[in-house]
Amino acid sequence: MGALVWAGVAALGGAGALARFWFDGALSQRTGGAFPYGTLAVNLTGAFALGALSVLTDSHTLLLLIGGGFLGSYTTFSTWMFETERLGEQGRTAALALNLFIPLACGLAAAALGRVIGQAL
Amino acid sequence: MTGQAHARITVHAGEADRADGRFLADALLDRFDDAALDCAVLLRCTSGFGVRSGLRTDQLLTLSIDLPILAIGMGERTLVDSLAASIEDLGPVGLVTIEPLIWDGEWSASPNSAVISSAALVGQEQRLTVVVGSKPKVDGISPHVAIVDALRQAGIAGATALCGVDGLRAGKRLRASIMAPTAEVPVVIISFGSTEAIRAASDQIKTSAPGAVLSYGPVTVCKRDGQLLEPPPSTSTWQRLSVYHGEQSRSRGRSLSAQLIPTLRGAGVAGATSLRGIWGYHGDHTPHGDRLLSLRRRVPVMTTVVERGDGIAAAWDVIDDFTDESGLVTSEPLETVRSRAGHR
Repeated sequence: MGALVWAGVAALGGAGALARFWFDGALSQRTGGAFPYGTLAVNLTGAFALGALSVLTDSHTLLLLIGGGFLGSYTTFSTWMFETERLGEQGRTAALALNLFIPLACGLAAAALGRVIGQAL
Repeated sequence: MTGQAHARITVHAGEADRADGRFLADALLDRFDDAALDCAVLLRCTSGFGVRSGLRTDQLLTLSIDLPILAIGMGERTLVDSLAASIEDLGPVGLVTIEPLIWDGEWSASPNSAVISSAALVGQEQRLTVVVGSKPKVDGISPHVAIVDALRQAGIAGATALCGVDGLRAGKRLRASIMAPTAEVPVVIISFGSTEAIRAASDQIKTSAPGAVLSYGPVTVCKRDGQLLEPPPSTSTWQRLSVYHGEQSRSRGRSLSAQLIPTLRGAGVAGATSLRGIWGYHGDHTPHGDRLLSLRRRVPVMTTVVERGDGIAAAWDVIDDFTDESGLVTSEPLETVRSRAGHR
């Protein structure tokens, strides 16, 4: 992998994080902040996109740039865990359980759906 | 000096705001210091919203980037007024409120006899605000823990201790910093009660907590433990409507610390902030704060709205709904409110 590709990963990684802050932030403002819908949305859309990408291309450069670079920064595990812990601090056990189960279940479904759509294209 | 008229100024801003080439919070505290205010505290809010700013909360990563801050200063009236005029040039400053204060000064280890005459405290109920440094511990007990105990022994219904990150006391800047995590910082203890109970509590505090700074203000206690005592005055004058609850407080299953702020915003209230305390009690509970290995936090929370007229009515509807099981609701009059949105 040339230096140009790694530079591309760095740039797309930055772009992915910015896209996450924009989308997550806008959704969180609208939904009021009581439940972490923003993080759920970026993780589901990212899983779907990665599912589709894995089928749509054979190029490992493209997978590295878009999958590892952009989508890797666009989606987030640490924020998901942090926001779940915050629900625990507030004693909101039902919300905590939902925030663990729904991203897992829907995330798997989103990635699978991405592969199916990708194959259909 | 307790003879002069005193006032309190509260400045709302964001912690990421900048002015004079540095953080606005630093610039504000420097201005408070230059204005020779007697006392100041910089408090960091956990969530809030305003006329010019969207929802900010430490519950979500993307909305926690620029949390609201409150810079509170107390001093002689003339100094507060000229300070208020001088910060008009600080661009990002949001809401600025001024209210008169009855000042009881700073008490040294050997206090004089009562400086406040009983006539100075008008009304049936008072707010008592005590500012202490977080150090030194006496017999292993922090000053704010001792003061909260004194309030409880005096029969005061509840008290909330909030920890500042910066402040002023007796001309000394008290500032938290990464390089000095055990530095002394200011702690504000807020409590409410009948005028006689507050006077008795103050006398106790003056003997047991040297260096404490005491001040009083008029208050209407609206609700306590789900019981309506008196609705807030529905006038066109500005009020500060506050709810004192706990991190775990619930109303019909809804979490106040998570949902009160977003619901107030949805109801069209102009602005509100929520602060997390470090120690406190309400009703019959023993004073509490966080414990080291507990996930659930057991700290007091103070949620405050500054509004008037229709805005107070909208805020009261939401607050009344959320305090059907627990919580203390108070209303305090504000004399001057200056908002960037243009209305005064």
